[in-house]
Amino acid sequence: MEIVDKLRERFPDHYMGHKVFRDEPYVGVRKDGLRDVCRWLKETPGMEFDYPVEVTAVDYLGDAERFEVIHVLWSMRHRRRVILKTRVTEADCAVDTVTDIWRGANFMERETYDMYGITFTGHPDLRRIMMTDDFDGWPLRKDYPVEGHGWRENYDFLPQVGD
Amino acid sequence: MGLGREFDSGVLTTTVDTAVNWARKSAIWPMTFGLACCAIEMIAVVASRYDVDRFGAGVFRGSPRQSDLMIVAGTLTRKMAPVVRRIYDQMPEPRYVIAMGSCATSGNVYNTYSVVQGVDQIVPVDVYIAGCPPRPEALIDGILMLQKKIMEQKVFAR
Repeated sequence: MEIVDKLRERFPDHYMGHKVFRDEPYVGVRKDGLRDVCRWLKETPGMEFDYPVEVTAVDYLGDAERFEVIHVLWSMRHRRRVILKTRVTEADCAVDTVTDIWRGANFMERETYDMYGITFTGHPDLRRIMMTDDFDGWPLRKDYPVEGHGWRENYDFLPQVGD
Repeated sequence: MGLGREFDSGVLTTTVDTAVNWARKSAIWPMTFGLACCAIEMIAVVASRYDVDRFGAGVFRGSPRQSDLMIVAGTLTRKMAPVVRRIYDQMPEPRYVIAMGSCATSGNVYNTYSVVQGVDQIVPVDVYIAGCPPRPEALIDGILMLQKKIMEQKVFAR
């Protein structure tokens, strides 16, 4: 694939494997090189991936590098997609932000932070976006229980007998 | 009509309870509390094909202070739960709640960290309507069931 070949040639040490599924390249990128790769993908004529479709994460519970941060990018001029995958460990689950490259990634990174606990260094306003600010825990991690964590069974705003 | 005894001279005798209940059931003013997709079916009920105004319940008030019925239509998330309770508390009595649809009844298939499993954890419910979403006729059936329930209330008698 042309995108993968050019990326490999430009960033040989950040490239960590790729696969192609239905004509779309899924490229593994090293965590340190993520920002450089993203900026190169946006600014190079011929690449011009100017639309951030999604920034999200996957939790592979049990693996050493537990989280996989995924950036899906779309090029409006050339009408094609590329998916970048970055693995991070649980102890050091911080990734560089891409909000200064694509403004639209702001809320998406906040959502990934809210659901998985992955911090984005350099993000202008990293706080929870869907859960309440005092929520405790990262809901979409695989070890977060459906019941028993207390959030959805706790109704302390209901008037009690004797109030 | 079932309201009491009718005489030829145009006189009707009934009980105060029956008269009050008849007035209450014939003009139930709902408050729109459409949270999710069931709200679309509620809109369909108000529109011309399944007109709910025939049953007196077509005046949807925007404010809880002016309504008798809260139709909780849609999924209730834990974040929205205090809001529902506050709006319920603002309604003057007599007030009724219809849990419309599967999500409001029991949480539907969404057994997740943020969905309240049934709105009856928050407010007392009078009528549950099953369906995902319930057909407009099912919602009208629920409103009629509520009317039947209202007719059985005892306000003045013991």
